[in-house]
Amino acid sequence: MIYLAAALMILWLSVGAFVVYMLIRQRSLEKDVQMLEEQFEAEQRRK
Amino acid sequence: MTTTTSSTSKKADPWYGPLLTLDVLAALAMVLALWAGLLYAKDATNLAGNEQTAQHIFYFHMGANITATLGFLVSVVGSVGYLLRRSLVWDRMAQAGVELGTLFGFCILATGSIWAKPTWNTYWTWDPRLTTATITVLIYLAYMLFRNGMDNRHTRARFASIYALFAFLSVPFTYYSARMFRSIHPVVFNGANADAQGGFNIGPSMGQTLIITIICFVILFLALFFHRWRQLSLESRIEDLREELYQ
Repeated sequence: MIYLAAALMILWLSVGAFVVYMLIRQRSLEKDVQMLEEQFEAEQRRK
Repeated sequence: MTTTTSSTSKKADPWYGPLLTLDVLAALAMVLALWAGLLYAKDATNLAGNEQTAQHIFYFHMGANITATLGFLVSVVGSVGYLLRRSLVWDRMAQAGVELGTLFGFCILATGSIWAKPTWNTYWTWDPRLTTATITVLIYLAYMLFRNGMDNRHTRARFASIYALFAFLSVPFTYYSARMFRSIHPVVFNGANADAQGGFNIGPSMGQTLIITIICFVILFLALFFHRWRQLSLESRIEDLREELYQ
């Protein structure tokens, strides 16, 4: 039973870690896009 | 978890609903896979003790196996698409495919090693199947490192596409390794391996479980793939904005 439990834990932890990575990355990307879009709009207004 | 640009609300994003549905389906699919693999599938009658319990790892090992292969196949489609069309959308598809293929490739190695302990009495042996599977995962890890070494997006996409096409050769090689060479790894599809240790005959409930877990893992793959593909599009949008602002 311990082998089965260990295999399932490693499987779900790996997939879970990837999902968490994507969530963290998503947040930082959304912040970056927002900041850059604001800069871009400000640049457009200045022109 | 849905990928949207900050300028558009999540509900206005046409992908929000389908991706949310896919996320819910993937979560339900994983519950179904657990039920099928642990409760529905009957124990292998020719095995006993820890070996018999560990045999249930097989369904998740195969689910990860099909999913990894699917990821590497998607990378081939994306790479061919990029080389023909020169559109970065295809390159992002290839990258997402490789990332997921490598993730599930690691899961194959991990679950297989744990299954091997009660079956072969060792976590690892340099068997042809295990060796070729490890090489495949390492080749795709190198793909990801290789991508990070290039700044120009089209140069990176061109080289990565060619690399991915050659890298894929290791996938059929891994598949046939247990058939071509003397291996103790059991062969499940298309043939048998006389030297296999820990093999078993697949009964009706085991066959059905295998189909269920494979379908569930494919749903999980699709959910992760579309999120990652869209996330890579967002990264590309950031690169576009930076180029427009600072060049």
